[in-house]
Amino acid sequence: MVKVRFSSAIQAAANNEIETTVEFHGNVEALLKKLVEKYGENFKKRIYDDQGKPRRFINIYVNGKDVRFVKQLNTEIKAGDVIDLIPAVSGG
Amino acid sequence: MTKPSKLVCKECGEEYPVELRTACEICFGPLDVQYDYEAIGKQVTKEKIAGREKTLWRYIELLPIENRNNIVNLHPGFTPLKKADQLAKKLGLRELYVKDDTVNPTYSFKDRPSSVAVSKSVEFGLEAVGCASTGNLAGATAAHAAKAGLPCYIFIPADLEQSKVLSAQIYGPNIIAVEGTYDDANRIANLAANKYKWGLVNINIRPYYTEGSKTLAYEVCEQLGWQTPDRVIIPLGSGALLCAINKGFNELVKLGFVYENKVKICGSQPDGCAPIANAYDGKSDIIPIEKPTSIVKSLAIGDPASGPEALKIINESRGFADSPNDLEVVEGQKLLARTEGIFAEPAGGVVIAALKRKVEAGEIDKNERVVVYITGNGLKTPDVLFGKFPEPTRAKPNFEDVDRAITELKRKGSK
Repeated sequence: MVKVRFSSAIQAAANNEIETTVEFHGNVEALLKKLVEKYGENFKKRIYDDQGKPRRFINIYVNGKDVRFVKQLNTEIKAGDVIDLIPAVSGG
Repeated sequence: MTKPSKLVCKECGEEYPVELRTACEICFGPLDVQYDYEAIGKQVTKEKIAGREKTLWRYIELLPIENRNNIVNLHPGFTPLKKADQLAKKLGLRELYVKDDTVNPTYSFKDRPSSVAVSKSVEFGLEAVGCASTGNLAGATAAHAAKAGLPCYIFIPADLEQSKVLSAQIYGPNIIAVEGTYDDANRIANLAANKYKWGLVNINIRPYYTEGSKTLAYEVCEQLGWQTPDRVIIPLGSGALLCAINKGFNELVKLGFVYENKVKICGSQPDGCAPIANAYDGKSDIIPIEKPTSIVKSLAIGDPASGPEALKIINESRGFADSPNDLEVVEGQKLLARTEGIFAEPAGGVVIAALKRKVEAGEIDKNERVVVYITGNGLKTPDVLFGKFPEPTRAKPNFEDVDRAITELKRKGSK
């Protein structure tokens, strides 16, 4: 199982759940698809842009590590990992 | 009193009422507070403003607070705009000004956004306030929380300068030192803001928070007799300050207080953490920095939230983004202190170093009217200067020995 946490506006897109656990192994890209299965079309429209890429205002972290510093959407996720989806416009 | 009219997503244009909202629900883009400028223009005149209190609250109609009773006022802003003739002469410039925000209530420009954001948190009825901080915002938020009588939760990177931690601790906040970078502290603050009913000023109050900083544009124009400068140089961390200052100039045009915004908007960040300047130099997208390495901790934001917007403003206004190294930063601090008597923190050194570099490179016309924003006080970060000066000349407690020391100093060529 992996734990996924959603923050602020992204939480609203995930049926207002602050976190969820899913049975999963694979990479970040596959996890997002799994979450689309769970939360449906509305979640998909919010998470992906018109080109089918995750929107640039979402930061994705695996165990606190920004996936842009790992292998982006190919970053591997293993059982027990915690994934955070957080709006990028924050801080400063 | 006029009220802010709406929140508008800067990315997709979706509109929202003025409410507690962090980001756009459609695309998660940043939200901008907008006002009814026509109504404000009918109510407010330059003459009215001139007679008001000498704080940023003199521009109340352009700030997002709906009830004056909610204002938490430490009297921030309306800091001096100092004509910097000595520094101008040294660099060969005709007209140079320093906007000196080292003299705010907690000694940095962060009193501006935090005063607005803490006031807005009071207006929202939130039970506590706080922030993620590289230091200056910690003190500013903690001081405003103290004045508001609210609990305060502050998230900082654990390696922050002790002097900066101390300058927040005096106000009694709860400080959580995250063992990681500023971006780690920011991520965790985001999760905390989502769990508790807190107003974390630069997280879930961010649309309102950035409004405080735009007063740095209003004040400069007012202090120049309601004229814009030709060029401004601004320290760059997240890029939010630069975007806010540009918004301030644009709003004054909308109100007819200044004729047009042709200001060349320039930014500077240390080369050990320069994602925006790197993108400017390489004409590329912004690539975040995982582990910043610079003495300029107040600008050590590897993943700049307002970076893309700041970069666009810099390019469209024909400004520049520069990235001096740590040595140049300290030289910049010294140059400002030794010509204008202003002790800036390293972020000020970053700005002065960029000014010097660009004048020397011929990229700043010597006849331009330039304003540099000095946003934090050097006394908050003495660590970077230890060991940078020769020891004081020692003398025995009699005049003969002191006179010998004076002769020695003169021989060495001291002024």
